[in-house]
Amino acid sequence: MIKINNLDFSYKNTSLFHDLDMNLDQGNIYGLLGRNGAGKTTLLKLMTGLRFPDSGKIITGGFTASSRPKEMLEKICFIPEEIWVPPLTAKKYVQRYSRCYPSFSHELLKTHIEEFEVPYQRNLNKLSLGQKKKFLLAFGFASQCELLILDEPTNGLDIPSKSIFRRLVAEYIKDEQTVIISTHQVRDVENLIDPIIILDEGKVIFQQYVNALQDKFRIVNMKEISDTEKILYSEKTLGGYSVVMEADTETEAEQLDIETIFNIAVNNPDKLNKIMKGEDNE
Amino acid sequence: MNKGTVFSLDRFLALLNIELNSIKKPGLITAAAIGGFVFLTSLNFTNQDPAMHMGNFALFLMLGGLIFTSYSFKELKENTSGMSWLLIPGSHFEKFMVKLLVASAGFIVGITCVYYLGMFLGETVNALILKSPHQYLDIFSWDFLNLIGGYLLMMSFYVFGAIYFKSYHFIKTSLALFAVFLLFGVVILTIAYLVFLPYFDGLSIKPEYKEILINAQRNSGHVNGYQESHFQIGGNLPVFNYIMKAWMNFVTPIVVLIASYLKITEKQV
Repeated sequence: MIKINNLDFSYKNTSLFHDLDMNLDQGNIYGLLGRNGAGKTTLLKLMTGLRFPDSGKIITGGFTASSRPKEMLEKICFIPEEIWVPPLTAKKYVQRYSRCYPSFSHELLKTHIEEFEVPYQRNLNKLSLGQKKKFLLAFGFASQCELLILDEPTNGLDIPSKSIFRRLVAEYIKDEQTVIISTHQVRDVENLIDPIIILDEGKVIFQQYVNALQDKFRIVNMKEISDTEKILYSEKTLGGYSVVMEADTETEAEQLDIETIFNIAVNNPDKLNKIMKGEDNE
Repeated sequence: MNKGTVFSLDRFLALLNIELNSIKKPGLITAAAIGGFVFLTSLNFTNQDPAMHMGNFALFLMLGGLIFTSYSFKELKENTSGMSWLLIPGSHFEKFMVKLLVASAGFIVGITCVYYLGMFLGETVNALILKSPHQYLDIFSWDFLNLIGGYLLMMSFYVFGAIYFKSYHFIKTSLALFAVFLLFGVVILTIAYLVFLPYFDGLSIKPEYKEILINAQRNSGHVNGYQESHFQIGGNLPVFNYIMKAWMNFVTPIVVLIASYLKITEKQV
């Protein structure tokens, strides 16, 4: 769905991406993770052609992203973190904008609007941030675009709405659709995203399926850290340490969560990648 | 490339619908204000200038139209609205043409209707009560057509400014145009000064060159010499005028609009 080759991008004189390569296949729900300022939003903008690379190639849906052809735009629905809505009621917005999306489903929209409890007759400008976001998410799901890009989708949503969001993604995203969710709130999308992509210092430091990681690693609670060689990551907790080790340990263990995976990837990317490739077993 | 990729009437109308709705409310308020103003000025029995309506209309068309044009790409002012606009499924050409159509034909038709309505109501009341009506705005006169031509030319510059500048589009475009014309004037004057300086004494041709010019005209068979040559030059002026008008009214706006379109394709938010 998206192919990025040798991407270089900088803001004025500050380099953000250097020689970045990435391949995103159709039919996955990708989680794009990274520290603040890692370039997640910029990368999403580059993928949608809102920003142009200094050099390198970005192909989105078979088209050069920066040329923004109508065929590419029909395949994309991008809901940014900071949203903008025109001064229209939700109903009028749908009447006007849905015509631009060939696969738009009014039935789906009705369902999603009801689920999210978005006021359909009120001016979108007068709605709260959360309500605006819920409306745009409902619209985005109903557009049935091949590529759905969500930048911090759960920011501004109340707790019940986060659950509805998760349910809608799980229930209504079709197999052929690709979703990219960029977020810091990994717990909000814990069981949705797979694979995960971790960006750090202008590079993809990690891109793997969560299942593959969970098969290889376990979290073990220890009072004292002993066998440091096998430890990938440790975190001080109340009364001891929470330690990430390879799954071959006989100790009683918990399953790995995405937040921990992120911490391992950022702190120990080389070792993690080696283990994932099976090189560390030698 | 498939023709439908660049332009589809259905998508164009959908985009036009979005655009018209985005300007509906401010447009109606402005129209009411202009209509009201025209109505009141039509009641002015102290001003009997036959060109009053043409003058007022020109002011509304030029000032109003160019301010309106300056904000025609208002979505690009903010990153959030710019992202939303740039990602609407439609070609750059369709999006650009929608904006252009609204700022050109849309504004001209709108302002003419509003002005005519205000003028018609005002002048009717004036004729019935005050008995001193003014000459109606003649939309079929050459003056009117020239005015529209002038507006379209200026509008093309303001379309470019609307895309190029991030804020204060109208003021920045006006200042930029002023600077360009000033620079252009200075260059022309400098060239004229350097080329023709030896032939002039102040603003008059030096006597020896005037003599040469008159003799040259006499030798070439013209009876009235200098005087006749003046008329001959005058006789060629209409051709020069036509070329200049065609350049200014057709070539320049088209070039500027093409540059504006290319600027849209390069826009990043």
